[in-house]
Amino acid sequence: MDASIYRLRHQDILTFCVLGLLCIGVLMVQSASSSVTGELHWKWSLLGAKHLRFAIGAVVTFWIVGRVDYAFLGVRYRSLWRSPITWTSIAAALTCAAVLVPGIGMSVNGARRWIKLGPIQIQPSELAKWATVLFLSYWLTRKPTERFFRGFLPAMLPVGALCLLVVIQDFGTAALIAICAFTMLLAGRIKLRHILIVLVPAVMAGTWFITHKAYRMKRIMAFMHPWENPQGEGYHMIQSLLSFSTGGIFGRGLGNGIQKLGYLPEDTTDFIFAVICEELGLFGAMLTVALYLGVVFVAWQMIRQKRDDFGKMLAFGIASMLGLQAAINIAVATVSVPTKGLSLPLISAGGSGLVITCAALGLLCSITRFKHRPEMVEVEERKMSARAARPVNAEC
Amino acid sequence: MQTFSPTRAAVVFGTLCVLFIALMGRVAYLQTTGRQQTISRAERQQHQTLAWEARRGGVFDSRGFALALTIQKLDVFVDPKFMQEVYAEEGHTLVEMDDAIQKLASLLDKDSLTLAQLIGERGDSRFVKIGQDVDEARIKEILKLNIPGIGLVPTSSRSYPMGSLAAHILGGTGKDGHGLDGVELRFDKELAGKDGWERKLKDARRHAIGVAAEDYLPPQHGQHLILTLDTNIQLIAEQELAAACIKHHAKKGEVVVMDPSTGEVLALANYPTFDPNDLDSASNDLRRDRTLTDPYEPGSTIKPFIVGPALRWHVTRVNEVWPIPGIKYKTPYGRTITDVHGYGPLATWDVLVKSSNIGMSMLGERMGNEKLHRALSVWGFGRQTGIELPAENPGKLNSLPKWNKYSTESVAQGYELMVTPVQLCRGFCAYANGGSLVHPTLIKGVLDSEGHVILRNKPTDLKLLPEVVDPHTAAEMRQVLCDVVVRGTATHARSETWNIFGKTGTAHISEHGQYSPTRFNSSFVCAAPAEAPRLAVAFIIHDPQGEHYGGAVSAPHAKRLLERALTYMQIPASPDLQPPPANIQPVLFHVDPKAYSRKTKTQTADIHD
Repeated sequence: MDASIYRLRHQDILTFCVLGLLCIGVLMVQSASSSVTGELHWKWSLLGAKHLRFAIGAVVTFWIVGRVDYAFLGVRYRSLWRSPITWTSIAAALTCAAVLVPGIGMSVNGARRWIKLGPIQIQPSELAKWATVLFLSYWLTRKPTERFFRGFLPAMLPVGALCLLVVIQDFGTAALIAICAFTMLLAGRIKLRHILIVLVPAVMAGTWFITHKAYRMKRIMAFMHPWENPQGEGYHMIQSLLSFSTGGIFGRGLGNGIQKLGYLPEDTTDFIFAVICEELGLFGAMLTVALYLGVVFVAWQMIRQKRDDFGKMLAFGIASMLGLQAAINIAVATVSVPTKGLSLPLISAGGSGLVITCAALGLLCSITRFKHRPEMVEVEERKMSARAARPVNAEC
Repeated sequence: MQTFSPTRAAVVFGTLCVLFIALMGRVAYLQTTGRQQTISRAERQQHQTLAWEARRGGVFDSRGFALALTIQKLDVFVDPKFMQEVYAEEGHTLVEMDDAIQKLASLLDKDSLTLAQLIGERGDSRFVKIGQDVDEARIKEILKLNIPGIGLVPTSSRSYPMGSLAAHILGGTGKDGHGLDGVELRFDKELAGKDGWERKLKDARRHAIGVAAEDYLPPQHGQHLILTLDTNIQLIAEQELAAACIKHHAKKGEVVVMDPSTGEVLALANYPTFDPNDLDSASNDLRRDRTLTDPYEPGSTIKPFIVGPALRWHVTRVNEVWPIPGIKYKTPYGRTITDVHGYGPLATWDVLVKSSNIGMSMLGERMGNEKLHRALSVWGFGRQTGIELPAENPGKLNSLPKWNKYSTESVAQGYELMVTPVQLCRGFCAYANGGSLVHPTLIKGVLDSEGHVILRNKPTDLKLLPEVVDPHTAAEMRQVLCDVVVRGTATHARSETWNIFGKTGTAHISEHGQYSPTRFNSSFVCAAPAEAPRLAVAFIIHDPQGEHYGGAVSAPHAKRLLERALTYMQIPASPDLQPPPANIQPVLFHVDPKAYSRKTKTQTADIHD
């Protein structure tokens, strides 16, 4: 692509969106976590400072990953065990399993979701999300998936296994993984009847899972009638609604939110969007959504290019995962769907998730930087030269 | 073969975009229309609004004595939950708690069983009010008991330190602290001030975070009223009125005392009266200020108000002799007018002094209805006086077209029209001050809550007031009315120190459409001292038993009122009264010039001593 002073390159748009979202995140986490003091000068709150450090780490990760060619992930290795994607998936599965082991897994607010590694905590479900994206991008573009038993089902088994491992600890993320996987299967030219065969049992399992656990059922009931129990099940939702009404269309101004003063629970994580709306009004909400759509736009541009399917699929998966997570989080915050424990990507406080998400977006950046030729062309060439194909790098 | 479908990807991204747009719509909805449903809850949750009660202003008399004050009292409340917790923690038994409650109940004048039941029933509550307006001594006793969970809340309470004094002027306040009657009602807005408020922002732990500048409005405390009333004169007036009513077994009576040169009301009393501190035991009827609300037919007291204008308009002269036939007189259309005594022909002077109905009827006939009506309306009868008290009745003076041939004589005798005691007193002020119709007023000034003067009512210059009669006529009338006390119907009102001039009235009470032959309103309007009048009094006793003439019922007490008030005001004694002028004396009925000298009388008293 021509470097032109008149056009933003795709990687610039992406970097702008990522930095913008991170900045909003740092500001809002700081705002939501700060308490009222008599001091007049700027003071980082504990969580705000921690989030700032992770955000800087995330930017560095984004920058480094963005400079590495993503193609090594998509190489057809002779053995499956040599592929980094396999190892990522196995690592994700292992950590997800490890969380369930008492002593290794850490529980916060009654949910066992974290692993403590020295000073930092890792949420394995975050890892599982992106591992699924990587695995499906690889499998859908490198394996013959038109056959149900030989191509499609083997792809579904690891994904299903990951989902099952995650669903025990975190239903929201598992659902997100399943939905994202579904969109990737759609984009990967999987036959619709094959998808239906998997989808029906998956939906049934999900329904059983919701009705099985009493607290999930309660959440659904609370979503239907939040005002029946304003101090109990309905509390989160009501407080979130009150944030919107307190802020109004123009917002109360940065730092002036009231709901964050102990009324709105999870104000730095799951419900940070409500704080954004309260303080920055509709403008803040639109800005946030615009930045997410910017990432989706960049991915869409990649898909439209004449390039390798693996890159397209990876870009699609990353954007789909990010967009879906953001959409579900905003839907929860606006009380459009029942409460789920999903964070707002790049904005919510939560160290490891931030870095891992930025690594994934770094991959997207790498896709915008390195353009590979379509696989079909490579196959033709390989036939012609009878030589092992080597990826032709072309730096944009 | 292609392994990626851009079309399907576009569908997914398109769905995502639609989803985002829909969510933005949802956000916009929640921030605008959806806001209406939740904003009140948010307000309740995040803010606490405190009212800052404005202190009601006081009412003072012209000397600075407090007539109405707002004082802070204490309500006693109990926190039953805390009480029980503390008793449980410290290992006390329930018997000890009951014991404490019993002691508390005895201090609060309450039944200990009811109190224990109240506290028991609302055991989970944090605030139960158990005592209202408790005085300081008892508060000390209660605090000495050292019962856990007992607290005090300050409340404002209206107090009338003078008790029932000037009750009808003050009017009293209701449970809500607002005026019910009198100046408390008329000046409620000024007295009440404006409550302030504060809207505190609170965090989830109910700690106050702060108050925005626009969320705080300091209370505007009420203004203080300074009345023209003089507590001492008011007390004298109330005492004399009560004495007259009790002596003559009258159910009710009114008295109004005014300063004739300014129109300031110095005293205004009704009998029976009430205590504004205890409005529960005062009926509405009792609380009504009848000096303003209940007009009555004045009878003979109206006569000077007809003779004055007649003299001014030269309809008659004081020495014109009227051919009174005797005790009975038949009007041209055949109505019979009777007098109490038959004196024969009387001069206009004596028509007033002897209060001759026949003489007045003849004068009325000469004046004609139109002049008669004009004469009465210039005094302001039938119109509100504008005094600063609520519910003033304008009285009743029929419009001229409603008058008939009977009206001429009726009105001349003080019937067919109704006046209020304040109107009567105000009219008499004009004779006292040389002919100017004053505005009766109750308000001397207004102070703001800090005590700075914000209004000082200056009496209007007499020259600027409407002139009802000219000074010459006023002086002549004063002379005539002085004679009422010496030779006329009010000899009981003769003072040994001051020259009083006045006019008695005895009017039949109208009941069931006709005049009762046995029930009367006995009134006396007077002013003193005659040479420079300082006080004007209207003294009315309704339905006295036994004696019923105004000169016998009202006049002696009105005299005593004047004497006591003038003594209190340190007004020097009057010089001797001048007998009627020599050119008039011959036409008068039995004049004894010696009778006008007070000294002879006092000297005899000295000899007797």
